[in-house]
Amino acid sequence: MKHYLLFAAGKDRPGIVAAISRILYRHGCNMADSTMTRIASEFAMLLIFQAPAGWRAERIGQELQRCEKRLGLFTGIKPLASSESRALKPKGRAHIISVYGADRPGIVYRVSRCLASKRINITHVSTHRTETSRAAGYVMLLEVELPSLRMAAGLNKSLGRLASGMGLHVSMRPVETAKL
Amino acid sequence: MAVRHIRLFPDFVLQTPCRPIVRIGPKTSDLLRDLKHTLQASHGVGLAAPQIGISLQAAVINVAKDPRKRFLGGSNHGLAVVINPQIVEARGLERPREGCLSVPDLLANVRRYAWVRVRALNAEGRQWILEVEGFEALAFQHEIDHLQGRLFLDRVANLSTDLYRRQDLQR
Repeated sequence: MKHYLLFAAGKDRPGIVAAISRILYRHGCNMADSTMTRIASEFAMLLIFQAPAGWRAERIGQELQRCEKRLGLFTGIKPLASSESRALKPKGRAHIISVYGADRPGIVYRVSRCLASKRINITHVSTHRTETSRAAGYVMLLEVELPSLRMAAGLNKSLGRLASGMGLHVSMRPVETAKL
Repeated sequence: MAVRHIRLFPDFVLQTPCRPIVRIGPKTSDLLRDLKHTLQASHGVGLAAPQIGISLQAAVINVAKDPRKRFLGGSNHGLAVVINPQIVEARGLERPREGCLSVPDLLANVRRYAWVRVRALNAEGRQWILEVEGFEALAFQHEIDHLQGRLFLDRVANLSTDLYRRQDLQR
């Protein structure tokens, strides 16, 4: 069975998930992992599906186009190699980093550049801009994989320097999991 | 009655660790009165001095009337005043979804202790030890964080999802 990645995004309204999943169901495709969420007024879906043997992506192209027109969506499909469809083995201990403060240009770029320079992989990012009548705030939450615990102290120091230079607050802690 | 303006994120006072109160006098009484009145006028269960723009270690907590107390249970000290509070012992684990009067737009699943022992001074400057549990313990930890320049955003337990592949747990 071949795997594909499908994304769809558009103005949030009832029926988007039903429309996309209906197309996959009608074509005998199995939906595997997915993430679907509303961001501001937009709804975005990112999912992996398995297609039956001999199936071609073009077969649902027309139906997706109709769906795009009817629901105002933007969609795309990308084939995956079989190794790409499997969950990756974690490359280290998961840590959560919180960064927040007054909004200013470059927060995401400078924090992610700091992590990339240390070859630290980001697995989740969530950012939020808040606005009051006085000022705008920015919150960036990241989940990262630290290949070795020795890196934590160095990373903390680098992020601390970066944050204080930008008037931000930063904290980092390991994700605790209880295996029962 | 002095109801003060509640400082909102990203006000820098919320990111700044507060100074301990070294002398309890008329100014402290004024601060505590303002905290009580502002808390009463809000829909919150706790208020720390930096939330009204004062970078000193004082907070008031009152979970008595909050309906969440009924669901989450635990202790109830009524209106509690704490000066220079410190958590000296903690047990258990909770992952409540938390918000804050100073960050009105956001909520997060956070990591908190289910029971804490807190050492603090009361309004008269006498040391007292409180054991708090359940919803009241969450409120105490939240306010003590404020006094250390931390927000609930520093206690986020996970991002975007509460369900992980088992493989992801092999960390």
